[in-house]
Amino acid sequence: MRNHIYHLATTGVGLLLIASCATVRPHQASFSGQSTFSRNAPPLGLPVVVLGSGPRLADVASISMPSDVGAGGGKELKDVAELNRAVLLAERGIAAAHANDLLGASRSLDEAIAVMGGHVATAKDAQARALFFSTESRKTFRGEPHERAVMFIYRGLVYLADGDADNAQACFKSAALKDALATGKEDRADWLTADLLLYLTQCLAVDPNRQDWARNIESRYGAEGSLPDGWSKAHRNPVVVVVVAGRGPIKQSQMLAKGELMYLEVPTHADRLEVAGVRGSVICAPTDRPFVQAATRGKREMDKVLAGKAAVRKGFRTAGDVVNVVGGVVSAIPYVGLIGTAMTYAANAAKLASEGIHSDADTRSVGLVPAQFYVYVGDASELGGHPKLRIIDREDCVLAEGTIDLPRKPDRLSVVLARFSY
Amino acid sequence: MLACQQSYMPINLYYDVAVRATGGGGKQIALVKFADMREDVDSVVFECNSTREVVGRARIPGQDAGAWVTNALAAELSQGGFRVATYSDAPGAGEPVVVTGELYEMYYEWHKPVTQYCCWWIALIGSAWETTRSWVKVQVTVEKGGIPIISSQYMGRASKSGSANRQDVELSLDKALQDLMKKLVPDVVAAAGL
Repeated sequence: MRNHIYHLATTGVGLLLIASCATVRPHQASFSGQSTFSRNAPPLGLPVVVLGSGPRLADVASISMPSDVGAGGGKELKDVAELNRAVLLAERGIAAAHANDLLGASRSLDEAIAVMGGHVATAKDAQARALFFSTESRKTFRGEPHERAVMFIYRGLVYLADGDADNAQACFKSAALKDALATGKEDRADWLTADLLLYLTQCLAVDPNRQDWARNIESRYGAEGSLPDGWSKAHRNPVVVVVVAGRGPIKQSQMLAKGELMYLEVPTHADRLEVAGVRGSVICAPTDRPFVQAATRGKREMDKVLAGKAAVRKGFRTAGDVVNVVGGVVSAIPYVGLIGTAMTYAANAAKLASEGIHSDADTRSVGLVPAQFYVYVGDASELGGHPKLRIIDREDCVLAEGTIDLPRKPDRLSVVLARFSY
Repeated sequence: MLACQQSYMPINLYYDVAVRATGGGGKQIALVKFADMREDVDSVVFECNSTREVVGRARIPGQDAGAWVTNALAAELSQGGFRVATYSDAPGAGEPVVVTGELYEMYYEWHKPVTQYCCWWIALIGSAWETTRSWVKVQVTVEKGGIPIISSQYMGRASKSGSANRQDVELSLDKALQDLMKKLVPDVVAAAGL
């Protein structure tokens, strides 16, 4: 009988073990996708638009882009959308520009800039808004300086395509000025893209005939030998080519340390741009890498606030632990035991309060900020009617290729925009 | 109840299809594997309460969290009638709709109730109300014909009662990814239909 019970028990345990093993699932975190970039692979198509010329490629404005991240779960979605409005507008504006929708791009970018640039946070203001028991992301998104600079660069390009060189100039100047807000001089970054485009618009603005701008560039920049390839060759029919590649930096909060904002670089395959016209080709290096711009700007005022909050939280917990131990000892002493108990409760209240102190940095970001900017200015007559743009990687492989269909208006400035996402 | 100090516990990432997507109709979608941007790609940060103190890491040895998210999206879209092609670096030529993304946060938190600060017997009773919270955060871009249609951050959250053992961590992350897919898949389907 005892043996019988023993066998039943062991069989039962065995069945249970088998059943538990059967519920263990194989992990679903291995990947078996195809690889596209290889030495002999044909290049991908590079979508190229001449802003304001040709059809609109997509109706970006009709798409709602939800973004409920960062504002916490307690907020109503409507409020969250309001807080994140600038993110949506900025992304919609950039997307519309790449879709050759000048009207949609200008509307969205103007609104985004109004929200992002309408209020400059001073140190005092930032501290006032950094409520102790609230996260940074519970405020209206205004973007970091590199994001605001990118907004202004895109807006300037749209103005330029509209033939409004003066407003374009103001936008490129604003893009450059976004760096003037860093507290330390050594943290102020320089946007070569903004500088080059600003210079171009300056040349355009001072010359009503818009014929001599290239000579102006030659005399001002070329004389110093600092003009990028291609610029000195532009004479009569200017073509501005702006190519963006990859994905911009990702924001991450150092939640586990001091809460401050840090940036992660998203790698891109692109290494250089080739512009091939009828009279040869020009290789362009990136003029800007937004990750570098973002990561070299030093601490924000808000980071100091977050570090302070993290320190207070840690202090509360440490003090709570110490008082807790002391209270425990005191509570064991006759006649003063109640004081010890009170100390223990106070210590635990302090630790409880520390849990409500959030020092997380705001990680909302404009997702369409690129990893690299390439800027080329050439002469339409030298480029021919259908010049090609090629994205090349470090191993000299052509990753993507696109053709520019230049309009047949020799006296008009053409703004070409292309995007390589990988 | 396992202690918070149980660090480096190995877990298995899995995903159960949760969204009833429709409207695929055989349309082609290309997915590029999500890049895992986290500092330590071999583990999931694991915390006690909300004090932001790392108490351990749930290890995911030999597993790719970026692939986990990509495979989940592929499973959902396939279920919805889409023809899904997956790529490791970039989509092949002529892909009409392309989804790319980056995974940059993956957290698991174990919350003890406030009774933990009371005397031992109240703390013991309160332990029945322990909860877990996990989240997965990604940045997703959908392109159609090379034009970005959607670029947005998505966050999937899951809160449930539980503790810090392996099954709870795995299930909680599964639920968080399901929550993320409930937000992401309708947007991708809408973008693909435009």
